[in-house]
Amino acid sequence: MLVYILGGFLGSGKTTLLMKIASMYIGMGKTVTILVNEMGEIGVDGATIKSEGYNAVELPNGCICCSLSGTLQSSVRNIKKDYNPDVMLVEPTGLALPHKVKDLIHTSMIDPEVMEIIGIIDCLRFDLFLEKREAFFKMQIKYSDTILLNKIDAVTPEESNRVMSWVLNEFHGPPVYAVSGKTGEGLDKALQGLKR
Amino acid sequence: MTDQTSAEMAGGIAAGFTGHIHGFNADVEARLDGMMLSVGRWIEKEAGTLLGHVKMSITKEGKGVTLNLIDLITGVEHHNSLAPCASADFNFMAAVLDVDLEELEHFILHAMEDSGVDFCIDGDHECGCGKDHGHHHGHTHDHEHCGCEHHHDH
Repeated sequence: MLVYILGGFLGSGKTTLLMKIASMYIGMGKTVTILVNEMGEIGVDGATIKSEGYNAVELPNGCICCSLSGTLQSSVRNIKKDYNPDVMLVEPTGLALPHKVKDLIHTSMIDPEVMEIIGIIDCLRFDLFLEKREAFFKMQIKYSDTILLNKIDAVTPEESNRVMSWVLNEFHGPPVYAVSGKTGEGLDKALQGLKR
Repeated sequence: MTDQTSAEMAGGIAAGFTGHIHGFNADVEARLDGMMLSVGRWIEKEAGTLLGHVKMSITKEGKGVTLNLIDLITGVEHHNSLAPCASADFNFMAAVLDVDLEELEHFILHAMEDSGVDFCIDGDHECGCGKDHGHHHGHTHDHEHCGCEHHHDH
């Protein structure tokens, strides 16, 4: 089983990209289960994902990196036992720390062949994030195995290049792709890197 | 070592409701769009900027439309569609930074009432104004389609 954790701040486009990744694997004949976590008692992303026809398990009312950590571990074990999908996509809340989610899944004994964090950055509101929550924003992206700079359709090439420069300077190592979940621009190349 | 949750570390809160809409159509969808914008503007006024999202899914038998507001300039994005129907279920949630949870819930409930949409919310929701916000009739209400168990006095 391959496990991908999609991390990124509120509104960075995680759900849209998650459905694109799910579609890609389904198109390859793989089975996919999505685990979607929402901070509030009421979730919307789960309803959206299900209405698109994807197999989704919802974990609302808390954060799987902290307050729902035990629930996360039992849920991923149940997903493996009940569905045993080829791919599990995990969407934590936009206020979660993805590396904590990864650690928790590591210790949940499901033994995935691959587990990676895909960090998603919203190019449109990048400056706001840095201004308002720089430390938290960096902590969310720091341990990413792949970084996607999303919403390049909504900014100028100069702006996306500026975000790219900042990311390459700040986070050394992971591949960084400029993409648009909305138009699909850059996604083929980015998702190609995930294909296994 | 801190016992703070990640949401507390980030200063984020989430508010949400589920319920039913009676008589869904394009006019109602436009009214909900306007309601979400008013919630977004209030958050911007309170917090200085809208950092987070306001979302709503309106579904009938599991299929439907999702409304998503993350930026006041780009406005509310509508994903997929829902054909006019006598009743639909909704999930509403806002996850944002730097606002008070109770004040946000209060504003959302009043914004929904002000929208003129005929809706009922699951459970009872009272806020500081002393009003029960569980049920609001903005339009003619067909009781046959209402499963909300609230008292109808009209």
